[in-house]
Amino acid sequence: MGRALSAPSDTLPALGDHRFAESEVAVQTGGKSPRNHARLRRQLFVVPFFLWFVFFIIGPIYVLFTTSVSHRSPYGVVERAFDAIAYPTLAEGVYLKVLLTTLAFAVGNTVFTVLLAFPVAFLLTRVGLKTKMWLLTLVLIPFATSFLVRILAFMDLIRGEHLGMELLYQPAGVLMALVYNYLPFAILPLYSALEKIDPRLFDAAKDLGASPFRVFTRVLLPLARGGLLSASLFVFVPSLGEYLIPELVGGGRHFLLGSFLQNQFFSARNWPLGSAVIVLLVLFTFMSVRFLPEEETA
Amino acid sequence: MATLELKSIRKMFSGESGVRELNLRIEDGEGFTLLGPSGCGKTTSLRMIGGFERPDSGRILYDGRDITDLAPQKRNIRTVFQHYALFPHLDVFDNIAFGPRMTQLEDSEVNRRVNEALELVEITLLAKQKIQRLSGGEQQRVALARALVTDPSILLLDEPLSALDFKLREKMQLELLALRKKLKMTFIFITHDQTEAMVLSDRIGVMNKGVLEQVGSPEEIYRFPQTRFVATFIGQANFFDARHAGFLEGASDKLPNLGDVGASWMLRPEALRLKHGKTPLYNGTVGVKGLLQDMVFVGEHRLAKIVDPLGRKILVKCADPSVGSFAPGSEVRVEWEAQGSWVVR
Repeated sequence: MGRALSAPSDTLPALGDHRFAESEVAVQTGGKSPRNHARLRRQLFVVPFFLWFVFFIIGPIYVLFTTSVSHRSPYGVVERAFDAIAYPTLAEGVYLKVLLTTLAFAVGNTVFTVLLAFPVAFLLTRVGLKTKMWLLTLVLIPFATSFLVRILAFMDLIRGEHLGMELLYQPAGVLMALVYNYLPFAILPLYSALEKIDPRLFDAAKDLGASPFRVFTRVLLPLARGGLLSASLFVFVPSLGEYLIPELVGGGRHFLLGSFLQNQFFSARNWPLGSAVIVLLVLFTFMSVRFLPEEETA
Repeated sequence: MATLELKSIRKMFSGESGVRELNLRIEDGEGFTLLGPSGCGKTTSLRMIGGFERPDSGRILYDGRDITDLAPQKRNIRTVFQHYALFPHLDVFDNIAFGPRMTQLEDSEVNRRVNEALELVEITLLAKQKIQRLSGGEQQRVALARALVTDPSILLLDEPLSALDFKLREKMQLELLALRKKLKMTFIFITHDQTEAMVLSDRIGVMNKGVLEQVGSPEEIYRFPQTRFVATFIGQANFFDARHAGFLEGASDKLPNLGDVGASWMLRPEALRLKHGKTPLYNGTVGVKGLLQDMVFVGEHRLAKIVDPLGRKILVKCADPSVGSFAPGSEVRVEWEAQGSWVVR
């Protein structure tokens, strides 16, 4: 659908299109050397973005990478000497266990959050404008309150004396806190994906004899695929590095990547090992974004 | 047989929109068009026939059987939606196969029917194409095939040609007409385009503000409109009424009686002739003097705008090339056959 809408623009030069920009300028100034000036001027516009990119993206990743392959002195000082020991170390049992526990929590969080977000997002596309605004406000209100206050309140909520069973410091409690915290991140991308689906498609499916279940599985789900993927990614990737929730709600009993990193950088002072983990996470994130369907990254 | 009857159908939405009262009988194999401006209730009417809305009151009968509360798929009526509503995640073949696959049919039977439908609308070569890569006209063919493959007896088409550009629209109009004649099926169209309605249908129902103002053949609707609204919505119309009485020359006694207060004589632009103010009037001809405001040459005729003594505009289509010499601002006379005047409420 997205492609169908953007198709006519293929024939028109886009704003950033070189031919377009050049011919514009050529008409204005004529001649050859003014054209070179114009090109230079145009390239100057890119400089701030380029600098931003270098300082905030390339630079930090470069520092992390060099640290991860550096040597660590017995006192924890990073020495600039090539030593790729950090990566093989990560394959050791203790570290693998941390990685697997983290993955389990991240996957659990993603599954439950997206499952809960889907009906809410669908509802948002089916109500009137006024109701929609109210519901969206309700979804977003938690963002306006302090993260710490929310988590502390949540911890109180899931204590045994309130629920009849103790969830605080339990894996289930951590998962609940994660899901609660990540819901808006799944609802919003899902909503924007579902909103693009023409509701007449549901009528058409019904008219052709599809039961409500079939309308869901044959029309809604396939069309929501991109939205589901990006919502999953929005939840899964940041929950890999989740630190405060497992520390507070889990009482530090479940040793996850976040706490592990905190440890490596501040207590154990093994910066190369910590950096290696981050480099792998960045690589992983990069790969998953690459594999998103086209219309979702556009 | 597939006659469709709407009995005292009413469906109002908040505000004034919706269908106020609708009584209609559509015969088997008929091409019927609901024509009207946006918000006149035509889409709501179609959605009720299709089964997507329930009327507040009234009954819908199919061959005398009450289908008011039947779900869309249980009626032998299929809808071709506005903008076609093709499934973007399926290719042409799978779009058309969607309906048959919802039944207990064998795969081979599904394939046979889909291929038949593809042939019917002449898009066999497009079977494996993605919907996004189709032109507007091709998309319409897919939408038709997707509905026809389920073998309905009535097809509802919501603004079937509005998504197409002008040239293609004319071509598809004729193709739709040919398809309807070939299938001998009832087609119910919805449109706001009067030309489309005239070309496609045996009868037209003109809707306005939730009621049917008139039902009739395209020619009846054009030549004998019952109301001012119908007269102006279908083609262009000039109105003369009792207030013109003092300005009428010639055989004004031969004009049909206006009867009602507020009624007027309706004349199409092509029924009027433009003359110099001083030429004598023929027998049985009525005339009104006026000032020629401007005149445009549009090829097969000239369009002249005249301001009558009441300050109203009169539009005349002049087939006679000699009127080309009339200067704007000059005094002219608009004349017509007294007995050819049609009275509208």
